[in-house]
Amino acid sequence: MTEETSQRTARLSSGGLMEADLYEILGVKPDAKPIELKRMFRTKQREAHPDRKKTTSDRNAAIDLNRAYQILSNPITRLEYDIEHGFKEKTEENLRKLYDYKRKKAQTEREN
Amino acid sequence: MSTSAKQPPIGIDLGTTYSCVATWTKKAVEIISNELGERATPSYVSFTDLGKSVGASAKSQATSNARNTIYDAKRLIGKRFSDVVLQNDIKRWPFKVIQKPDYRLAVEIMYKNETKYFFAEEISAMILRHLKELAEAFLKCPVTNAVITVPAHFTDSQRQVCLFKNRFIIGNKRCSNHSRIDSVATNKRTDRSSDQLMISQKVLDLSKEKLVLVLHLGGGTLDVSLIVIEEMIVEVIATAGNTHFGGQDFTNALVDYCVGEFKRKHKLDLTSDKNAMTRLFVYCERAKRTLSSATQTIIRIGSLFKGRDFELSITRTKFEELCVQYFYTCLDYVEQVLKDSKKTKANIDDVVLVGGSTHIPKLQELMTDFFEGKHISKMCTHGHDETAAYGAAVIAAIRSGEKMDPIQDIICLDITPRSIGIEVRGGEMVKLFPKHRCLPCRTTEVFTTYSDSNAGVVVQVFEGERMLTKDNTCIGKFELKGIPPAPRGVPQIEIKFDLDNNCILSVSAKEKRDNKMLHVTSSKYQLEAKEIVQITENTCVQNNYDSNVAENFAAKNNLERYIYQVLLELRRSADKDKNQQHFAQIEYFLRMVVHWIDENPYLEASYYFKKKEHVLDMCKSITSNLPLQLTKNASLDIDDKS
Repeated sequence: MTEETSQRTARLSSGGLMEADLYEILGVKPDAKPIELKRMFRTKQREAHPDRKKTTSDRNAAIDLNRAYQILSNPITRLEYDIEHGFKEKTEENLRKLYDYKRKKAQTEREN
Repeated sequence: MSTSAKQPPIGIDLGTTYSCVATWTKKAVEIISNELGERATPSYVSFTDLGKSVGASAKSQATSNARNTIYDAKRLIGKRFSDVVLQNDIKRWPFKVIQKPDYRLAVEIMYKNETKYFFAEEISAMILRHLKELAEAFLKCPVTNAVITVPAHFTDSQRQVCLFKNRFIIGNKRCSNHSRIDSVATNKRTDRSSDQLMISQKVLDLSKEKLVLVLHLGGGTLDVSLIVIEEMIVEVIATAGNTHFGGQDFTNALVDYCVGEFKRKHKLDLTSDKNAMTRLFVYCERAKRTLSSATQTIIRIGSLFKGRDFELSITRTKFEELCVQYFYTCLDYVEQVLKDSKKTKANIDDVVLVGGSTHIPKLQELMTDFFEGKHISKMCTHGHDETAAYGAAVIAAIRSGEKMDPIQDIICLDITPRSIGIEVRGGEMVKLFPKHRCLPCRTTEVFTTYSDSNAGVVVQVFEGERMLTKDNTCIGKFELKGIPPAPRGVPQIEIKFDLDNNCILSVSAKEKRDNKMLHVTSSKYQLEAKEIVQITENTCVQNNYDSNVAENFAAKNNLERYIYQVLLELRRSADKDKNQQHFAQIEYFLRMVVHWIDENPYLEASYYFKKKEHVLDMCKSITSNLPLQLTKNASLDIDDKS
């Protein structure tokens, strides 16, 4: 028994959600506009919110919903997800877009 | 559901200096006032030889019993003794703070000539119990459910403690962030304004998205949060704040100034006298409040220290000068929130000020200047101080399934106030939940062992924004046991981190290869569980003690009442009757008994009962030939009591 923290091997790999269809969770089409996502997210939240529902399955639903919305509401993570799951093609243009996004984000982070 | 439906929903704002309780009745929130009719109850607990008193009565005697009067207990919760900020507080407090094993903090008091100690949680528990009793007295039914507010920036351990300590007082409850509470209240207010009257503030169009900045500055904490309100959904976007910043600090600045003045005038240092300091503190607090409406006030305290009087005239400007750096700090947090959410001042549609300290004109002025004169709402519909309790009551109502028109659609989406992460090798912090993630949320991580046939691993959880764990706060440590022996790097341990809606972390783990759940022991939680039993017992003892005291008082009162009644009857019939001799005799005897009571005010109930029997016998023997009326009345009274 060591007091040492164990070595971390993998992250995100087993989230379980990365495999699931986030669009289905939110109940929108893969080409939904951000405003539709938001509307749908809020409608669904209204149903699943832990203040209202107390069962475990509702809680899980709220967690999934939050996670799905979190990924899809951000253009970078959404594009990444789309490419990874075949909602968008792995074209050079898309990959470049993703790269540009990431570079810009890194830049603003450095500035801060 | 059926049980909770019967229970009126209760919301409690447990503040550093003042607490407030509210309930949802039919269609509106009602603030429950305390026994003195005040809507806010001081968060004070004091111990005297007569027992403990909580709330207003505790505060009123703080000046004469400073050593045993506890306040600011909330500042102790979940803190370490070594904390620099805490050490400064300890220097100010008239009561003594001691460190218990496992870094727990307790206050030491003298009670019935005995040194006792109470954990900060117990003190808060007493206040909560008091509020609960107020609510029960008001509603005339038992209360088992409540929503209790905590500052948005309470750390996990502070929340945990709040939730735990409350469990054994009220049962099922929920800590809710100030931010969300405030925002609900905000939303409520907008509702009200829209369907009631067009009050001076603009009517908010609920179908349009509104960005609202809420500044909550109470007695001990500051919370700044940015929320979006749209279609009855309140979404918290960003929060910032300080759990150790508030009106108390302004008062302390004023106290320091007064101490300086006193030293200058009388060449005496009064800091050593706890009672004098507490008196000064109380007067300064009063002066501070006066200065929110008046431009000048006088602090006048007779024989404050060594027989010297203290008199100081203070202007609002002077007070503002003493505290101005604090006010600017508030603006720093506002800027922080704007930066975090990538919004600008121009994006903000509305600014709402909540909390007692936002009464201060200078603060309002600074906020108005900062937002270039736009929409500062001061929550005038229900005082600054009650907003949190108000919001808590609304959330309680929602949770209890209240199907009421104005509230049933309100939903609050809360966020994590800080990043939560774990330590990996090298002391690096890996964020599991980044700051401002929507709650509830969950994440899974796969770990492996670091050495061959390792049966357990220790994972430490931290909270904070820094890269290295040593710069952040450790909020817990848990241990996984029962990993099947394997060479290092082979086991795949999947750990699930779950943040619930109260932003409290729970952890479960399983071995991925054979899907077996692993045993997780969390040092923090287990310690708590043990302590709860102890605390519960301790509070029970305390209550017994108190009920004894109450019994003693009742017996004494009973005896006194009886004597005075007899005396009264005597005097009434004295004119009619010629037998003055008897009256003088009884009167003399009764006066002796009264004298005896005055000399022995704190005896056990049985002594008073014995004395009463004695008095009865005595009276009977003398009054055997008295008018019938007197004896009849007196004996009726006796039957009553016994």
